[in-house]
Amino acid sequence: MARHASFTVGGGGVTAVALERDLITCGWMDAETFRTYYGLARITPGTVLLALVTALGWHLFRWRGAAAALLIGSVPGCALAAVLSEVQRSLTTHPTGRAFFAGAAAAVCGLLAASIFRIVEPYFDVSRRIASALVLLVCAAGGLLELHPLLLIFGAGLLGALLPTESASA
Amino acid sequence: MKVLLLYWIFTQATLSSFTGLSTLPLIRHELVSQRHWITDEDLNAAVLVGRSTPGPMSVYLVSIGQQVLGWPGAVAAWLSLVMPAGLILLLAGGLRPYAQHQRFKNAIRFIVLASNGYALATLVQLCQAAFTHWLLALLSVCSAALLLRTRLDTLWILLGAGAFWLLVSRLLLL
Repeated sequence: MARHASFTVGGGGVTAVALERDLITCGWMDAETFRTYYGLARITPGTVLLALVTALGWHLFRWRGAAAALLIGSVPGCALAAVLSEVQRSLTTHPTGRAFFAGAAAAVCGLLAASIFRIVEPYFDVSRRIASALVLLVCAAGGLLELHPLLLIFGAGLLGALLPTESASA
Repeated sequence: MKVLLLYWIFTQATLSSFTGLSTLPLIRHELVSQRHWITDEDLNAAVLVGRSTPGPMSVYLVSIGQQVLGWPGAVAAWLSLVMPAGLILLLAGGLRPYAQHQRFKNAIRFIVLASNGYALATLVQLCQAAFTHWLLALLSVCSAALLLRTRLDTLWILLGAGAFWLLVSRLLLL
């Protein structure tokens, strides 16, 4: 866990795949148990990876395991982010650094667009695409109009919970 | 008190998100649009740090905390990231049957779509700040295509884009 938390770059999805492979290879857990926890982590508010490692730690060593996993899963990345942030700030005072980060910032926009596409794509299967498209477009418009995001996000959640199952997946 | 307010903003963002960067809309709304504590360029730089760092992408919040308040801000961001993780133990325990309910799943689905819809609007604003030359927009499209079409690590895409623009800006004397 410490190895993946410290060296696996590419976001929670990539790290989860690496963790699954290692834990199953070690024989600490079967694939079904891992996927149950992964499913629960996906519906837990907050960071999927941190919820996942907490659950895995709890499954293996109860509270001590959960606390240790959460620390190991979060501290290396967060500490590195804080240090990199400082380094980046000092580098952007130099013209070469500014030019480099201008290119990287443009790439970040592309990567964000790709990430959004990857996340929403599965929701556009045949049976659910109308409702999905409506929610996506209304919230995009709300974002452009600078409406408060929590209003839109929880409004959409409430709508999803209240609509009859057939309508919600229409 | 500013650190408590920052922690509260981060916590609202993490508690209302279910995917990697879906905290972005609330963070931009509160810290860029409403309070002007950071700019779109700062937000973009923080996301860049988050994408270059091992672990979850949401560690970009630590970079924002660092930019706003230094190390206390970074710690506030870390706390807001780790705090909701314990909720999974509730889901794994007593709430598990409810989590399987179709209405609950629909609510999560709509929340994910809504936050990503809002993230699209946030992305438009970040692009406006980042695309100071049309070639940068092209570089952005190439980066998206590389992520979607290849197995290239995001870190290499970011480093490549930075190096490419460094070269181009020297050649074109931008």
